[in-house]
Amino acid sequence: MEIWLGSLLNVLSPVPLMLVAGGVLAGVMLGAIPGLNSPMGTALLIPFTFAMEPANGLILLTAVYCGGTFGGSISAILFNVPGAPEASVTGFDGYPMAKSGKAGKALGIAIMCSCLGGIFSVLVMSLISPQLARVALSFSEPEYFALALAALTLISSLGGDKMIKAFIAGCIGLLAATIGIDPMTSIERFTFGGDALMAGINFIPALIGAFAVGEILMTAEAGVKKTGETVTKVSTELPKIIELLRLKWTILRSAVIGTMIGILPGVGATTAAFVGYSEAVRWSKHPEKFGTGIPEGIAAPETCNNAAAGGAMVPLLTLGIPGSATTAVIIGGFLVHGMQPGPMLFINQPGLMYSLFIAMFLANIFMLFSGVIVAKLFSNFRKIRYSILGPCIFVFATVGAFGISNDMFDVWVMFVFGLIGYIMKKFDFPIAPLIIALVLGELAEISLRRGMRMANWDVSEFIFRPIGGTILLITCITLIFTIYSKMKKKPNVLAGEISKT
Amino acid sequence: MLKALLKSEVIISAICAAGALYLFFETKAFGNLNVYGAKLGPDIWPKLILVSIMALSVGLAYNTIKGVLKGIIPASDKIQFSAANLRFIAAAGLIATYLALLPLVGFLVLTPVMMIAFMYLLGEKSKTWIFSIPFVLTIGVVLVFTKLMYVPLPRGTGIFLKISHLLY
Amino acid sequence: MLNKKYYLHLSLVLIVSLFIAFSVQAAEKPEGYPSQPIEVVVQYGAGGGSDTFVRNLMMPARKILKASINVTNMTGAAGVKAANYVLKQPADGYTIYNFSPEQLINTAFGRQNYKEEFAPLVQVQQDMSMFYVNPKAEYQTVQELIAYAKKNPGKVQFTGTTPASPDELIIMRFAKAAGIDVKYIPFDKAPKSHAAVLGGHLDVLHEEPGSVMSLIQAKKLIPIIVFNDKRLDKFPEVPCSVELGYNLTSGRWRGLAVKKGTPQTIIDYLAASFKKAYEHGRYQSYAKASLLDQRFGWKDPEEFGKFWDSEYEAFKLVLKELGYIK
Repeated sequence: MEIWLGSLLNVLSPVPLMLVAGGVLAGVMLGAIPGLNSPMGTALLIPFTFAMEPANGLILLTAVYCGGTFGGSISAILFNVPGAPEASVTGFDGYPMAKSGKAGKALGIAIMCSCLGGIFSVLVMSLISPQLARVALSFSEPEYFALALAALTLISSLGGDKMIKAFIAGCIGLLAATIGIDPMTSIERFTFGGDALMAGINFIPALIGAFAVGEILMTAEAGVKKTGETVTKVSTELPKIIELLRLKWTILRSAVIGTMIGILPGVGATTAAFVGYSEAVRWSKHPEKFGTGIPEGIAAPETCNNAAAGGAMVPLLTLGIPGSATTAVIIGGFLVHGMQPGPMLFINQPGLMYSLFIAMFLANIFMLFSGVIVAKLFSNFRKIRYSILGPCIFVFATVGAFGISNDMFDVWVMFVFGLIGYIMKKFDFPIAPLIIALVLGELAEISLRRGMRMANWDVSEFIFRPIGGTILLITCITLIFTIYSKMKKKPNVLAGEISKT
Repeated sequence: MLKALLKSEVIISAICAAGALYLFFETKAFGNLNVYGAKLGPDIWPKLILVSIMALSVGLAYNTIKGVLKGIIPASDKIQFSAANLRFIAAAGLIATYLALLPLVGFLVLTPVMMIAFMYLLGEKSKTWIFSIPFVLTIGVVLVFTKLMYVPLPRGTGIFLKISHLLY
Repeated sequence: MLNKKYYLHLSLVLIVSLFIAFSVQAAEKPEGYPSQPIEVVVQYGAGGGSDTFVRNLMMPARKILKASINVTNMTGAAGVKAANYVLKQPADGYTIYNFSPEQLINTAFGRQNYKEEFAPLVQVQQDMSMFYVNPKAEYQTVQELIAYAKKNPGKVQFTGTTPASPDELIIMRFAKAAGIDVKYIPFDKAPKSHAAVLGGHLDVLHEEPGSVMSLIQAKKLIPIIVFNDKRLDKFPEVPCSVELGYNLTSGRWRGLAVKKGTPQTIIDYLAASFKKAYEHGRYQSYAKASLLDQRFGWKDPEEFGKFWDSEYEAFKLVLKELGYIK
């Protein structure tokens, strides 16, 4: 308790408070601009933290990290270009909502839920970090496979009446995920003898392409005046209490899922957002409305990814194992001060740990304010005519795709997926299954193959496990139920043709 | 029957199935690798997906044809060449040209040109906007991405390299 | 008489060696180099071992070379992407590549050809390979591990980063020398392999000590062998491979290379400048903090090039035995 108080006083002094506020604001900005992201930001800040007090330096890095996880959703909602991979899912419902004129509300939900998710995970981890770490370690390949599969079954509900089309899109995504050097045997798959495809298809350029570039092409074809949607007023409005109460189960469920996935080493906030979204669909009373711009569709992934960002600090601080790309970079922030995150740090410098927890708590509060500020700033761009805005979005999409690994190939991937997205929209194939499968395909395949190699190719050893087996069972039951209930409804092919979303 | 076969869904299914079949033979290239007595080799998962794609395509085609024959789905889509298609081709062509020239001309010089062309294409009328935004945005992006975040945006070659070096 | 001749020889040798020493020391500055920013291409992501190595070495190098140096991360395809980028640039010494064992392995796979593509610059670090087990495992020493593996062939599961990697190669070279039959489970990111051993899902971890120091100190991972010719000061109780009779001392090394065809004067100048950067206090303090000072890692261009060839042959042999290449 004394340590807690001491840490609290440490953090509540001017310098750390300024660092938290500045860090969060910088993080939100970085996240909101496609092509810039929090791993990059933190990596660049590390040399500067060298000159600071160890605690202050780490507070700055975690603040940037917290802000960056949220920031991506601003551009995802407003322009359908996720500024950071964590926000990939937010656009599924955020952008349709913004398009229908409720951009301010969508942003408000995203900000509020990010904050709540973040605070939940910080509270959980400051209370039971060591126990959580033990749970994280009990996860092995079969559990990862079950998680990936659970999120993939979302495809069956996403397509609505167009289930076959959704499955085809999903399969193409799964196939695209196998391109490149196989992580288990190092052999090249579907590279056709060239170097270009060896690194595989990165999902961020694909996502930006399928959504943003596809949209630009569609608008170019339709002509700007016809769609003519110019939002004149986008004022960010935080959701009212009553609206939050309506979302309470979505938020709570997503916060728990996000924290749990965040603590797993090996999957990060992006996967968490997908799983959170798919669980929201699974437990929803009106799953068919997802993707049309409903509050749950924003609340679930946003709560999840920020909870996961906090969760990822658990294995980092207790075991020295980073749970995400940014936390891997934050290790560098410890190293410049000659510290290594891990069990010894928890024993030797508990004060530092508690300071970090408090700083993260504050960072999530500050996120409310800086989120509103940056969202206001960005939503001004939404007022611009599409004939001006479209080319600007395209430039950001290009640098966003390029910045992933500083390679023109990724930009071409973006363009090709733009064409694919255009064709899919034109012929009424849902795009989200393609992206979900592309993101989760490798996790599903490799954890299956790695797990089977570990189990000596014994299927029963792979399946009959307490956690993994349960997840698999629930997944299978809901999948069969979804497909069965859709079959029973007599697939009304006509409805599938008319209800274009 | 012929009308049903020309339906876009049927054509897409045929393309998907044919592509999947071709890629299925492509898996031979990596199917014979045997490390640690691998029972789940690198080819099993892709093969599984490809077979699923073929099955699903057949299913989609079957459903569509059945629907057309029963009259629940309107027969062939009216595909007409119009100004809209032309605009789409122009936009896609502009993007492809931009990407192809980017490594040669560099981001700094090419981007404003592309943006101006794109704005014209989208029907923007205001000259003030067309000739201000592209330059402001390009210079802003270049400064933020290269100076602040060290993203090496394409610089181009020859004379363009020299121009790019003026700024980054 | 004899004495005179002896002195004559000695002075000759001295003069010659002084001359050589002087010419190396000076490694005079090539005309007009560097006149533009130098780019260092790293094939791994920001924050990883190779990335921190490059960034820490470049910090003093900027002042020594009096040039601005940009570090570019280009990940993916086991370094082929980054290597191809470097090969597309002119061979003028303005693009430096963070050369690593992956290039040799890629050559064995036929994806690259390091001999024709790269000219060695310098090797800066020689990290150490160590094996670790979970404290709850049935075996707590390397002898117990070998005895257990002999009783249960194929049961012991080793883990490290990526397949056909230096990690797998050293594990399999060790297994062959010890006469045991083991399995290797690759992970694409090192932290996942740490977690698998900590959680008891896999048996033996291969890793450099720097990144798991805290786990070793907390006794969550027990080091059982270090691949070196002597024990380390930091872990006096951990036996080294040579004392146990295994002549395996390889570990991950980190160095720099340039595109083949770069003028020799520039190579010499860069090598001499990076040597100064290596000796700089800023770099040394980082090396000490990351346990990279335990083994002497510096190699000059010529020595580094010879080392590539010998490593390449060793890698190729094991990869063939494992069935990765034909």
